Amino acid sequence: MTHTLHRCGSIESLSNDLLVQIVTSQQIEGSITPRKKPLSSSIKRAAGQLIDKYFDRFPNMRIKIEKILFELPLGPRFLKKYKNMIIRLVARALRVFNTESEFVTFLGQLKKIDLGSSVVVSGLFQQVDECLKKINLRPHTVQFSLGVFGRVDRLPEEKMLEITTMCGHHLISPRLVKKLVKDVKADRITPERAAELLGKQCICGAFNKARATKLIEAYSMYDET
Amino acid sequence: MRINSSRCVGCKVCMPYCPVEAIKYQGDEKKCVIDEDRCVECYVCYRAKICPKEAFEMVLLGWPRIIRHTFSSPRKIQKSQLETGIGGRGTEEMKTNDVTGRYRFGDAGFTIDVGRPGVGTRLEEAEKIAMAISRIGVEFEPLNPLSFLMSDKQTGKLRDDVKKERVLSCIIEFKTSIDKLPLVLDVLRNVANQVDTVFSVGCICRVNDDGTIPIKEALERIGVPYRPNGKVNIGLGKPKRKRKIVSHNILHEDNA
Repeated sequence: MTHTLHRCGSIESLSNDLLVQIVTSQQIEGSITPRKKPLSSSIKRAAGQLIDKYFDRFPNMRIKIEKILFELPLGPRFLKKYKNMIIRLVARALRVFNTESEFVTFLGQLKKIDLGSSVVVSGLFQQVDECLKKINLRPHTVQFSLGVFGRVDRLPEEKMLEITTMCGHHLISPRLVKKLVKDVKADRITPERAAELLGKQCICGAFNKARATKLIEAYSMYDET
Repeated sequence: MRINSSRCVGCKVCMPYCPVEAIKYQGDEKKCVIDEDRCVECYVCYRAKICPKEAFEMVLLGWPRIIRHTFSSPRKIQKSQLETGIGGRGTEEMKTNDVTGRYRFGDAGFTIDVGRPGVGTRLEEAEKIAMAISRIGVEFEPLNPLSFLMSDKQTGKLRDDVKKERVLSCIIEFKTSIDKLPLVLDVLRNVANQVDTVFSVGCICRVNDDGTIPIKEALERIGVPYRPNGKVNIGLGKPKRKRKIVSHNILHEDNA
């Protein structure tokens, strides 16, 4: 699961591409075997899938409910467990942020509610470091991308990779990007619509539509085909 | 996946959606067909729901073809225990290191995404890399699905029946000590000339208490470039066995 690690692009473009992922470990410390999944975890997963389906239809509702949950007072300790369980079900596991302020606010909220789950952020190291300092956090473990090896002659051009690497599982085809860029160029669709169509292919939600809109806009001006 | 030829009208709308260009147009029949050898069973074409005649049909995948779907479709990845014994294309790796302690101080973790970005690979290419790496004595991640398909975890050799399967990408995960980093990179540079695909390399380590990053220092010392962006575990997770212990960052605050 390295799907948010190898995103390509210029420093300027990547500075508007910050991701937060909440991961609840399936393992226990010091053991290499996964925890046995009890029935309750299957029920939780099914509930999570149902909730996801609901929020896919009404995305604004997720934001509203999350806001309410995050702003609830901490309350007694026994209630915290249930509150955190609901937050884990409702909060999207993978979030994309286009602005530093939203990113910092969300991390601050996660720190405050103390979910107990791991939180992983992706972005420019320097920018992430500065953001973490603002909320008095520090990195625990880091992962660097050392680039691409092997038959690099088979890779599409860099501008294309900036868009396709935003889908960590590479479900976005470079040919689809080219087609949509052509459509934008011919005024058949808007860059926003093109980004939305590309985003639909990315199941895990790591695709940054706002950044893609800007890239498609720039690409449609540059593309000569 | 297959295209029902009696329904297909040869409009070619589906062709750009395939990430591995496995949908071909047969001019003589004026129909689109899927090149079965090239297809990685990611189901992007089916999920996109773009065929006006709903000609895409799922077929029951037997062993070992199911491996393609297991490694290439994120939806399948979540339930992949049946085929590989392990859920996921990779593991939690550094994502939950604050909980699992998978990478300790002095460890260097590696993730080699074979076939990525967007080129795809046969598993035999991943085997070439794994076998080359195994010669310098590394520890393959036992929970990784590709490790599960190894017939010999010491040499990195894969089972014969899965080698020819083509996937969108697969991950080789292993760890070693930080002082072996230059050696690992030498091996990867050498094997890069022998594989018929691409691979993206990720490198993981714990951050020291004083904020220094040993891997970063080692990479700079040997002059290996790295991207300015990457992943950071911010230490909010709590170890499962030690519920009373506060997380990495909250402990840090208390000490501060």
